[in-house]
Amino acid sequence: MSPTDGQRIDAAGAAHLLEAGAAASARADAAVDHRVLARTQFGIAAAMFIYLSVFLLLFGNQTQEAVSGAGPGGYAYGTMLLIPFLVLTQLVMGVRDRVGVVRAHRPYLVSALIGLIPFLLLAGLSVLDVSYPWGLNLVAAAAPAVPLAGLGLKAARRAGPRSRPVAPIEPGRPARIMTASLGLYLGLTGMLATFSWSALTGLALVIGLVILLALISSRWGLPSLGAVWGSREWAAYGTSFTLLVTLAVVLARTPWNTPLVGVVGGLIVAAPLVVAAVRGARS
Amino acid sequence: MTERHHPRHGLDDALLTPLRFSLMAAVGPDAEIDFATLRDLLETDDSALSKAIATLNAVGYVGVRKGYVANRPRTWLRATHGGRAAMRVHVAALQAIAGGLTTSAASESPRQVG
Repeated sequence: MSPTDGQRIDAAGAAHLLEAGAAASARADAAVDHRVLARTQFGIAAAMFIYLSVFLLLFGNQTQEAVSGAGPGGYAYGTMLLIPFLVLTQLVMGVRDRVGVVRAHRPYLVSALIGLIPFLLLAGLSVLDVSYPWGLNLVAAAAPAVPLAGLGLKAARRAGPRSRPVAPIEPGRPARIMTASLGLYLGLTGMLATFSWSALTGLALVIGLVILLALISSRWGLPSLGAVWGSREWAAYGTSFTLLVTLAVVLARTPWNTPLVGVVGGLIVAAPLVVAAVRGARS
Repeated sequence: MTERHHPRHGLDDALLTPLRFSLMAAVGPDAEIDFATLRDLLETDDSALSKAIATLNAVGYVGVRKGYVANRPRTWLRATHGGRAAMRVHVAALQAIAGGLTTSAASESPRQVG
């Protein structure tokens, strides 16, 4: 859009605009909550490392027959890892949404995306039944997580006392219902993986996840839920996440891949979030 | 047709008001800011900020994201690729016009935060 003749600007006017812009830029800089940014980046980096390393532990560097024969789930156990990770990414968006100003830091995000290449390469080698040193699994898992952790470290170094503290929000009834439902959903993900019809239920769970992720901008979306969670709910989610990943490892790599273990494991996975929701209602 | 050398030709109508220019400077190249925070940062009111956003959105300089926090609707703004490019050209033109009148801080192009 070009300026019209009536909007010509002189040197003083230009200087005034530049000064106003510099002041606005400085105020926005000062409003960035580096503490929250650091926490969210460390959380995502850790979750990504866990997801990728466990995925490669279960499915990497072994024949397709070995994976498929690991139990009724086979490759479907990957769903048990993917679901809690994708859910976490949207919950974390809610935490970032609570602060007024957030930064994208493109170079770090690009580095994280490039860091996924070793993971994809190892996944490709596994599909082609080409073996590789086991330690490469950890390197491939760390490659995208390290730039994200670096971003968290950078934010942590810049974190100072909060100029505008974020007031806590008590999760209301809809949030508590969503929290309990999320716990049951994660529990079902583990519970159903051991049955012979797990491919069908796995598909249903993935469709459920797609619907859940598509609600991103609505009041029922995961970011809206993550925004109101306190330390109790986050601790519960971290526990459920860890338990579900552990259950995936147990089911895929041990002989205990029975429906009973799946059902009991699923109930244990669901418990922390359900308990957090119930305790939230009582407090 | 003669070539146009005067820096005013680099100015952008959409960025000529202090509010719209400050808004673009505040969001900078990589920030996402929510409506209420932006209103406070720019020391303006809801109506004026809404109009500024509508203008910048109409020319494709800002992207708007809507969502909810604690059951309340919220709006976040960020600069688009086109908006960042337009801002760079506009700032360069302003600096050329301002010449020696600006301080070093004021003449910096909006934020390159590491």
